[in-house]
Amino acid sequence: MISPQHRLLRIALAGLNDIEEWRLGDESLARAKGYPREYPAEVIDDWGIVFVDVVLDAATGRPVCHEVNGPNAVGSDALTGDSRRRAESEASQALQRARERGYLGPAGRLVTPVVSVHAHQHWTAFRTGGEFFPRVDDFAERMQARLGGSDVRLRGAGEPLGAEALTVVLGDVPAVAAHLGVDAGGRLEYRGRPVIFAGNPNLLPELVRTRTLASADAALDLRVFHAWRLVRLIHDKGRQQDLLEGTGIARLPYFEARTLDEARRRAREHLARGAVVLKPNGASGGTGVHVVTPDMSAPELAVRVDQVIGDCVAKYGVNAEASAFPIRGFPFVRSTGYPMPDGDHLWDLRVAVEFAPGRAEVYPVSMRIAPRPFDAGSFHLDRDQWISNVSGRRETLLKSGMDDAALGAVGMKPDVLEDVFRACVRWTMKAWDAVARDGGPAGAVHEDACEAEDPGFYPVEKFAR
Amino acid sequence: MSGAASSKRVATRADILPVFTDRWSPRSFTERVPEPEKLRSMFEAARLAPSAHNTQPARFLVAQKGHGDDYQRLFSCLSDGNKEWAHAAPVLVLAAAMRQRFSQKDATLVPYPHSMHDLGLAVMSAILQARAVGLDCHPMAGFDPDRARVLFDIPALFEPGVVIAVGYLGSPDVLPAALRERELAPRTRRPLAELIFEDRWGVTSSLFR
Repeated sequence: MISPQHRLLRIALAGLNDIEEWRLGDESLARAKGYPREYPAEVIDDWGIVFVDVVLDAATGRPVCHEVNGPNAVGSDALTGDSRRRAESEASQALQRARERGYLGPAGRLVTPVVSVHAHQHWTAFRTGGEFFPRVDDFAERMQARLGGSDVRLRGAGEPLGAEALTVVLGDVPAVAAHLGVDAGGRLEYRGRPVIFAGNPNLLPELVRTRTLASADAALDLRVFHAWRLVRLIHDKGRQQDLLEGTGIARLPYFEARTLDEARRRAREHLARGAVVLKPNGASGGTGVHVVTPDMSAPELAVRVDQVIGDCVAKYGVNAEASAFPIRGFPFVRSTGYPMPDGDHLWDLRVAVEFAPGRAEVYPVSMRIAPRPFDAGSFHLDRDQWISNVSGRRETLLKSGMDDAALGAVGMKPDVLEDVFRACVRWTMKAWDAVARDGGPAGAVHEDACEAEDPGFYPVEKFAR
Repeated sequence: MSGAASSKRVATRADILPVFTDRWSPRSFTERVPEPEKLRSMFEAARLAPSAHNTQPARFLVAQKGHGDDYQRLFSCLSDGNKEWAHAAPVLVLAAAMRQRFSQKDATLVPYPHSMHDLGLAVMSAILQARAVGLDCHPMAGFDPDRARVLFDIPALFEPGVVIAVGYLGSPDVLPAALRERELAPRTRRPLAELIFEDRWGVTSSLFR
């Protein structure tokens, strides 16, 4: 149920070119289809949400994942028209952190003034307000209801803090990050007050760009971030692919380059197998994503590689290079076609995995359809022929993820969709477990590698009998 | 050192660290509350324990007297025999193990028969660290894991393995007669010749002949 003021806000923002996924929401249809679907997720021990962008490969018919986004992404309102489930997830985590850190008194009131920070993308007339603002408002109301009468106040990132117990700060990533610091214990603080919740992992690269953090790996207690174990993984699109192994979604081979020269060389190597998608690290909204093709000359390739970083500098300003490397390259996967009068269009399906301790809830968000039909001879020159990121595009078409006709048109039959859902849960659990045990996406457990190579490495049946 | 503690020190054939020779499982504790930094050091030690696949299956639930009703809830899970003496311990700790592990290869949960072994490693690490900072521990198998599961909302993935009484060693005089006798009895262990083999199972190792 969308409240009248939220509906008004969304309509107003739609005039500012906002994404209107909330219009896709249909609570009764979702209920009829059994969405969200619940799956056990025993190894998950905290709250969060991820969005898995999936296509069916035209060549193989198999599901392929372009990338996984975290709470930086939107679309959680496409199921029912609002993001109340996500707001509930955020509030549950924020309350748990407040409790753990001793900020709650016996009656559940806050005894220390604290802050939650909610940051949206960098857009000036941004694209995600219809989802973002109502969700933060919902979050604030839920916190007000559960904090034993503590004063909860919404404030813009430019405002000074007041006497309230919980300040719910809203703003774009740079505005919020400008007032974030790290205390001696490695915990986030906002204008000197402890942070109990941070809703957007893109704050992390922003803190690197602004030199609040020396690097993305700098010591920082991430537990206040939504989906906190995956915060660094959200920016590591290569490791995301590694984790797809064994889930049921095909893993894409990729390369990582830490200099422009290396990116050119590695891209050239990979072009022997077809077109390559280049992505910068730590960017959002499709910024810096470019396609290079085998028929490109060396100078053309060099220009495209330079643009990857150039786009980041244009969007994020000086010091963007501090977080834009490594550049990663992935094979361009042509999806099955979505038939339209002017030809077959590429598409992808965003799947949301909302998780809480012990369980995951999954639902389709939306099908995003490229504005123009795919043409193998010109697609690399025309971003409107392929999907990079819905929030960075102006003409992307949207279909409900519950639209059976649209899904069927691209081959996403119910059984395939169910397989995709299960694969998304497996990916989430695998990622959560890997980060929990490794300490971070760069790590690896030797025994895992042994087991992958040798099925008899850990003869469970013999030990267990 | 109390009379009980001195009678518990065992002779060893090899030089080993005092935390091993001095450690035993007392039933009498003083009312002195363990300092938070000492409790923290116990769990820091447990955190560093080895585990298969670095699964780190051990979880601990700490119940301290005077901190809400946690202590009473956990105490209510103990067997009657343990309740007889454990009420004096200012801290009870429930240790649980993750029963299955997540296989990165198969992207699913798989059996993890070493979970209790790995929990034991973590528990012993905690117990030895406790001894090193002057605390004593008494691990107890006598408790109702199902009741603990319900009272503390423990997920099915985790199996309660042991409850540990933690505190400062008290006088045996406060114990009932039967327990006092056991408290003062020497600590007994099988000789190494019965435990360490070589060449064939059951043949005492040349190290200990």
